[in-house]
Amino acid sequence: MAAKMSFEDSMSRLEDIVRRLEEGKVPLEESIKLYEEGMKIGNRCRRMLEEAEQRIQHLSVEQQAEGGEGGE
Amino acid sequence: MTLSDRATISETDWDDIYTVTEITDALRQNLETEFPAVRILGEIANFKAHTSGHLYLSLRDENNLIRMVIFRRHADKISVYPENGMMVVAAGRISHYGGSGQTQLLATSLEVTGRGKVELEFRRLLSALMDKGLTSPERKRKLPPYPEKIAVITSPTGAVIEDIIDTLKRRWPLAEIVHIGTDVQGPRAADSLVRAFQAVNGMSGVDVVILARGGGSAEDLGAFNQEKVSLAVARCAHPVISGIGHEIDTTICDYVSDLRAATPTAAAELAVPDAAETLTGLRGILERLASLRAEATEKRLNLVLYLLRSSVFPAVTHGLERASLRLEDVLDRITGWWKDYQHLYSGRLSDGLNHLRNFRQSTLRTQEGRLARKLERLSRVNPAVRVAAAAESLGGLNQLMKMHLQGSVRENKKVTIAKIRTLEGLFPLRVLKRGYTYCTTAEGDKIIESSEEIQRGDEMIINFHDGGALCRVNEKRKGRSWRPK
Repeated sequence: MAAKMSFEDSMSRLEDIVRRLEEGKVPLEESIKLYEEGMKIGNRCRRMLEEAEQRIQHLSVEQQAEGGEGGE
Repeated sequence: MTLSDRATISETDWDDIYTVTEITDALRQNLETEFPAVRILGEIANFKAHTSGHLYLSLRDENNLIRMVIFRRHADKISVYPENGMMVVAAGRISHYGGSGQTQLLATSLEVTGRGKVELEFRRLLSALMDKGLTSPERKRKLPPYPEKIAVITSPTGAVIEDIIDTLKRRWPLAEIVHIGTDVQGPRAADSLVRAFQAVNGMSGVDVVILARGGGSAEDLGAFNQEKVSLAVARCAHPVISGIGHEIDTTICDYVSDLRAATPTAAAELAVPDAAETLTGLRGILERLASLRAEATEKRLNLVLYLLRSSVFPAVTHGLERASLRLEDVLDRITGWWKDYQHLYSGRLSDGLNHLRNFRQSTLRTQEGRLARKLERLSRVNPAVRVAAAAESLGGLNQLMKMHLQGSVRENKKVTIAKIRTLEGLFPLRVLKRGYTYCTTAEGDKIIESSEEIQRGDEMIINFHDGGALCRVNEKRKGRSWRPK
């Protein structure tokens, strides 16, 4: 579930977690859960950034228009 | 009139006939008299600079054309050099040149008003798109902060796509790049671009589209000023960043895109965040999170300490003190009543009503027994005993606090709650649970301490540990407790 989150969703969830923790209205048990979730998401995002490798695909509209699926 | 009628011309008709030269002269004179100084707006076409130094050209609009000449003596002095497609205002006189049978403008000056047809078309299209609301700021879509898939529509080869890929690689290697190669200039460019947008619209998960082209002349960028391309941009299923030409070039596509970048590289920069910056921010968040956790735990511990020291527990002990006063009061009153009772009955005993005596004595014994039991019960709820028990519990809580400070907060919290409940259980008002009640006025605002305070017909509330009853006084007796007759 959490593993499928996009980078954007992860970041906004992380910001949400930090905001809620900073407000300090969360009960202790929940705050510990939030903290754990936040660390998990944050570290995953960090790994994504550190290990990212760009994928590039080249298409041509002319090929697509005439030959169906465009390839490399 | 038939052809044969005109085959011969009568002598008298000759007077009305011009020669070519005569009519040419007449035309020239008339035109030069009528239009000695005119200014004409038109687009330059058919420009030709003759070796003689004279400039030959035409001025045109959508439907018509007029010849124009700039003689050498003026050609040297005009402020702009003519160019086909240039929109100008030409000033001079209208004449008729018999040598070629042409009416023409003999211009002495030229003023540029824009890029001519291209410029006019640009303005026309832009205002049409503005009227449709396609350029309005409200229409601009927000770009996703962390795109995962970026479509790039540009030339299949050349520096532009390389620069874009380099920029994206450097800044945001997380995103997948889909490059769609198109013609970006020439007659097929517009259709090619439209097809590229169709292809992009069919792709799922595209976060942002970059439409790019390197710098070039106004004509080179022409496709990006065409209506169908502009509409394809405006109607694209995904947000579009345009980066077309150099910084000074603005195309119609720039007006309808969601974001205009000055150049293709700038478009790539605007499309993605910077991974290094994001990473720094992320590390900051994780540090904040860690400190928040420490802070939160500490805060909770402080709260426990605070509660123990300042608010809740003193309130409990305070409550114990108050309750003990009340109990002493009750004990005093019970003792007083007991004395009165004895006194009363001892008096009555002396009046020799023997037949009642046994009865009374047995009653007395019963009452005595009851009272003794009550007093014994009360002693069990002796505040001093309770306070000692509570103090013991507090000692336990202090112990707990030490455990808190050593960690394992979650477990200890449960224990704390249990302990607090225990302490609550010691609270003296709980004597109500043991069968005692107290009475208040019907309004519940005052405790009724004496039968003096109530009259027949009054309402009062009897309070139990678990509720109350609103009662009406049917009868009252003074001086002794109520017993059924």
